[in-house]
Amino acid sequence: MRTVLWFLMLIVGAAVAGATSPTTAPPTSPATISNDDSCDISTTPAATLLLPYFEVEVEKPSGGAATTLFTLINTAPEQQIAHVTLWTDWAYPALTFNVALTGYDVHAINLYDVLVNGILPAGSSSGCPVPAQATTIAPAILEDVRQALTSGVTTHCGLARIGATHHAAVGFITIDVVSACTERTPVDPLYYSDNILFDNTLTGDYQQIWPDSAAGNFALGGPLVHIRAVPGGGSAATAVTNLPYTFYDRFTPAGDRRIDRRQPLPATFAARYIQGNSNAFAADFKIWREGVTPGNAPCRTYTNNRDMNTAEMVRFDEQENPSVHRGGCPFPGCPPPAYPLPATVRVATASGSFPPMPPGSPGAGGWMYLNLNNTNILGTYSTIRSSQNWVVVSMFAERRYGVDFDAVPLGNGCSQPAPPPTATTGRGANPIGPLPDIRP
Amino acid sequence: MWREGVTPGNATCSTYSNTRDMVPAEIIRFDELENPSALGGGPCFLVCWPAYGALPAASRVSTRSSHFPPMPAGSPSVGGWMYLNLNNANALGTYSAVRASQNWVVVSLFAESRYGVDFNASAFGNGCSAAVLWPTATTGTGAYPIGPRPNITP
Repeated sequence: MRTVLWFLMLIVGAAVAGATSPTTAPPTSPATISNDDSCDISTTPAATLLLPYFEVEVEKPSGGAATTLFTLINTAPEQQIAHVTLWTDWAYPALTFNVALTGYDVHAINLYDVLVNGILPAGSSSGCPVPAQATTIAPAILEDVRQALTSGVTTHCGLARIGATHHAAVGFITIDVVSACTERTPVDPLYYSDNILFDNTLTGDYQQIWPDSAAGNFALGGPLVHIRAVPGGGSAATAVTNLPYTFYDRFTPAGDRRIDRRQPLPATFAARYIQGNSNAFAADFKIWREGVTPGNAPCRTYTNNRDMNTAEMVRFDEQENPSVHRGGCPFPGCPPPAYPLPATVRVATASGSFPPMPPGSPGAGGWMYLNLNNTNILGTYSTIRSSQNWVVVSMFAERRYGVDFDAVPLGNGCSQPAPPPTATTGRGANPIGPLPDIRP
Repeated sequence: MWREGVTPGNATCSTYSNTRDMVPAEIIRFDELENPSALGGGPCFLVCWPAYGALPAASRVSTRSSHFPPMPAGSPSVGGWMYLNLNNANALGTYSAVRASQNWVVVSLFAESRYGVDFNASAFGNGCSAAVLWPTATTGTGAYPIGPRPNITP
């Protein structure tokens, strides 16, 4: 009897509480029971691969020209078509071609062959059927692509700039599994409803070769960024993702902004550096950043992908002394200046793009906190969120040693935006650290 | 290659040789023309099992070595990729569950005695994926196609 009375009291109490308390706010993170719903990026077979940065010295002869190679592997028995897009450093799609991969196929592509000799590997074509022999790019098109990647101009855009000027061809590459060989690029919304597929079967790696012994004589390499479709498989109409937004967010059609189902990339990173010393230590960061121009944007808007703000950078030396950009502001409450960086760039850590070494620091190394959120100045993203980024650390010594490795993300693409400024600046109250892992 | 050992905590010194002689489950080499190659010479019972050389808890092994299948006969390729199922089958029964053993693979590529890069091999699943069955379909004796595992996270 006592048990029954307690049970009745509990029911009445719960009813009263429900009638008088305010409505409970919904949880801030979406709930899911699908084990595949992860925003964490790992090196596992994926539906999209990203080469964050490439560089090819197109004006030099092949023996002495720096170049970038990448390899594609289809890890499944079924055939796949890999749709390769070369973008300028302001995220303009300059060239696209398809690579047909039979089951368990592997293709190695030297970008020097593509951009200088106009040679696409066997199995590559802009249209089907796929040739068995290597094909070539028409000379006029090839020259236009080279101009886009070195001078930032193309006949498609007249006087409008779509990239910066540099002696080498510079940009980034995306590789997607698709259903057919077309010349559509990812900036076309129809690419997502008609072409893109979701099979997580591709894997790949890259190598950057510097053969000039006077300027540096080494190779760098690493895995491509593997971006899985979640859930994988099927066609665009067969599944819906639980991801809060996706890698191709700003290009996807208005009525279905998450149609590509690709994992988003993070915004904050911890990246190690070493520079100076008698051993000629040096470090570069190769940084890929999500642009802000939407799909099918006019050429003149691509300058917005050149000067994208960075939310915050803090340099730590080996004694944990922090350093931030001062920007010349004499007042203690000044926000740190936003040093702009384009959609892809290789920057020396000793350059003025990053905070200087703390005054009097005896060390040559340390690490940097990078919050690369661009604040979406054009408002082209589907949600209020951080922009996507990726950072590769390149370290050198004595002009003969070199290594590449990915910087450590401090969250994933589903993490809440990290609020700047941080406590280390003396002006903020948001300590630097890993962000909570939030699954969609 | 890093491989999970089989000796338990506070094991006697004489048992550490078990962590030297851990045989991988299956290795398939593909050339650039998708021709597969597998090792033979193992025991036969209904199907013939390949004979893989044992690999210890950590090792650096040339891809030309006999630990790996040879290039397919007549192959014109100098490259390709390998499928590695490094499950050691837990010969001492020291794991807490029936599962595949843990492993990690770093690829080191070299050229001209002056270039070299390292990168992690692509993982076909994660530590929570169900153990992969073998031999695979590519060997001609199995029925389990090679491919990425379903992504299972607890």
